[in-house]
Amino acid sequence: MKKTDVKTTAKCISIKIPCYSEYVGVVRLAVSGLATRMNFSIEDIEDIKIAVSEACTNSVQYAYTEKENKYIDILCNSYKDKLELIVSDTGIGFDLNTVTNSRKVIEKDKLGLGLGITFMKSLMDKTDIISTIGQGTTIKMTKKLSVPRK
Amino acid sequence: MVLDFNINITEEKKAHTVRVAGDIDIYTSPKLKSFLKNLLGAGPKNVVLNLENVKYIDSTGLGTIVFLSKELYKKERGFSIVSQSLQLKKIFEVAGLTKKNILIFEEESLALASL
Repeated sequence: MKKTDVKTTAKCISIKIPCYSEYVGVVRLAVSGLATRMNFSIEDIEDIKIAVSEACTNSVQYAYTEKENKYIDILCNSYKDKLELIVSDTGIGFDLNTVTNSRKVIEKDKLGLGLGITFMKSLMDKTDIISTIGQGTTIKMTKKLSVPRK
Repeated sequence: MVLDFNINITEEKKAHTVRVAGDIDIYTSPKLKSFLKNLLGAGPKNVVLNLENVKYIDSTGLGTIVFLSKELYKKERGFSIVSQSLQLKKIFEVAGLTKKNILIFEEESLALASL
């Protein structure tokens, strides 16, 4: 392997949780621990905690009509200069173009998925959402370290 | 910590003060919302929501706060929040809630005085 390849290789932590709300906090604590170990600032760690929680919350709320034996996968790729989080489910998926408007009408009491997406996009450096109806949703988020690790 | 969620309430002359401790997320928001729904039926008083001991809040928590704010507004009852957390203020701004007349005070006495 070339030296440059070593520099870009991620160290990976994989977490799999049942698709229930009580496990979202477990992911938040685990990812917070990793971000602390990577020397992110306190403010960045808070941003990362919200973003990963919102991604998991999305899956818990919308992915599965039956939650029994359904899971959410969280992949944390730790690089020297960034943390990449990939949250995925194999649920019903949604149409990203229409979700904000429709949910605002349906759920008057909730701020819903629209705000979750706003948080992820605002608080992380890069957020990509891929969702396919009937196949599931994958949310990939990246937070850069202001001072890369040695 | 995730497990230390609790809510308590005291009745002042002008308002009910609801003090929340712990993380407000998809797991704990329904408990808070249920508590606040009961409070909405408990007389004509204003509400101070003290979040001094809340270290984390997400979109479901904000949804619950917006619900409370709207219901109190409909009943012409006052509402204010207590928090010193910069993170909480930041996500209120990201969510656009600072433009919705939801006031955040650093001290409970100031929040009560505003009502």
